Amino acid sequence: MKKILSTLSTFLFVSSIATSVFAAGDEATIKKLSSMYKSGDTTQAIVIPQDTKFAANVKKNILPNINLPAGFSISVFAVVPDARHMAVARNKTTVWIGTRKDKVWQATDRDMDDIADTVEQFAPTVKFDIPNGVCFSDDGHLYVAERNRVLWFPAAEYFMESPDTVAVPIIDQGNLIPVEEESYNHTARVCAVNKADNKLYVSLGQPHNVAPADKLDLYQEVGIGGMISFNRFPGDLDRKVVATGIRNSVGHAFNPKDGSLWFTDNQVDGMGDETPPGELNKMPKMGMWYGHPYTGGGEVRTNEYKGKTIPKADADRYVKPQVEMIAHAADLGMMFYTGKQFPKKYHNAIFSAQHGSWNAVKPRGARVMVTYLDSKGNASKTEPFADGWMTDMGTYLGRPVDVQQYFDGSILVSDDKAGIVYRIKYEG
Amino acid sequence: MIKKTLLIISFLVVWSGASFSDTEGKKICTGFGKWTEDGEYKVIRSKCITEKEYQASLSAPDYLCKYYQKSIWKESERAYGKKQYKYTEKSLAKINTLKAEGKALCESGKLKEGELKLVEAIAIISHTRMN
Repeated sequence: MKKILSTLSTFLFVSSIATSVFAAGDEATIKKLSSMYKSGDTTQAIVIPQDTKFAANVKKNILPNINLPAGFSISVFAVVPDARHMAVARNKTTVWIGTRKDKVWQATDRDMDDIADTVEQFAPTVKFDIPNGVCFSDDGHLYVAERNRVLWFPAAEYFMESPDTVAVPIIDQGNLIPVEEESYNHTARVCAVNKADNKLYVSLGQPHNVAPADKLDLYQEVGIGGMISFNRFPGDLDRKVVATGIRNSVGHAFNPKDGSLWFTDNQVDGMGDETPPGELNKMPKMGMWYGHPYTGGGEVRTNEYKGKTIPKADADRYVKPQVEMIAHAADLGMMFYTGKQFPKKYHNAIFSAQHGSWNAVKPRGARVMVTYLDSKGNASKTEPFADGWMTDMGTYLGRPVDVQQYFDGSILVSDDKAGIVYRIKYEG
Repeated sequence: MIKKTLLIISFLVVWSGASFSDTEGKKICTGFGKWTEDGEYKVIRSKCITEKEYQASLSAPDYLCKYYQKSIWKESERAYGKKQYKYTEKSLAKINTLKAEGKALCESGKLKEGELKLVEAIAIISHTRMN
């Protein structure tokens, strides 16, 4: 806590001599909250009832359809509207869940039975704009990556019950990407803290099916269609573009064994029902290039850039996918399993969610995949871990978005169609 | 008695049809569903083809001609798709023209030429900023 207060004091000094540009419509609120003042906004947190007929129907109609390996079971952890990416706090305090709308939720297990008793709106006085990306650092800081802003909540665990929560912009509204490049599609950000450099890593999807040539220089410079890193406390931002050539990544995580960054990438539409493949990528070192817009997924060249020579500067940094997933499955959130509850074969494996797509005759996705790594830290095998969210008639019962590890080594799976966070545990 | 016999015959015909379909492979269905107020998940519309039919469609010579046309419709004509992009009237007109030319070429058997026109139309869509 002392460290937080000290950092905040530094920020307040810096902000008193600099003028921040807030343009999210909540400038005054953020200014007050970041100065540890009450906002004066009387907005109260929305509370989502949990013990409802809806929850009972999900248990009756969805859960029995989910197929899992022997010894595993699935249950409802929380009813969370529009549930997207998740961040699990320390000490069993809460789980924050982002959305592609304007709310962040917190699902809290208050009676220690591993089921959320309350789901409430987090920081209701902040006007979020597509707050999809939530991530929590080991030292207790919550970050929310929005469409065009990154907020730091230095004491989210302490102030989570209050409508006013200290919120400090790390990247001001309008400075994550140029405002002219803002879109709704491909702006679900994700974030993660790299323990090696203590920086925040945020992915920036590019707002086209295939990026046009006249945008490539700008995108490479800003990190759109790529990933950026920056300091996660106020002061010198030290923003760097760490990867480019990515179409729209909506899931990344660092391998705790070797520190390498892995990420999913959603690939190009309009090339065929079964092409190009989706991707699970590894970044062996910073500054690599992943093919877009010259490749549409895997090493399949896009129609738009077919025959065009890949610039040498990019080609020299090209890294092909570790795993080619089936086309149009929409691979999203991912995590490395570090728990002990699951059998040994899952230790340090990657769990990733396939949201599924309508853009194919043959329905696909709507499942959780597991990718095992070999002794060198490369992907050795990928297979479905949990499926059944799609019926035999091709309708979605749910659409998994993110997978995160819960305190006890079980995993949480968010579903933005059903508006549910599931918990999958192993009992043997 | 006659009615009963007809019923049995009808049942056998339907049953044998279903069995025949099963031998063609697993069905591939696309559909939509919604929750009813009673808490049941109901399939509203679902269209099924067999795996064999699906594989045959993928390897048909005119697969890309058909796929590209459908893709253009999805992204630039269908209301839901159209509103996802920052089209101009000019770009939409160009897409329509290319699609019509591509379709005509495909239908006259000039599949490769048709595909090229359709890919040109898709390139305009691909490079249009999303909303």
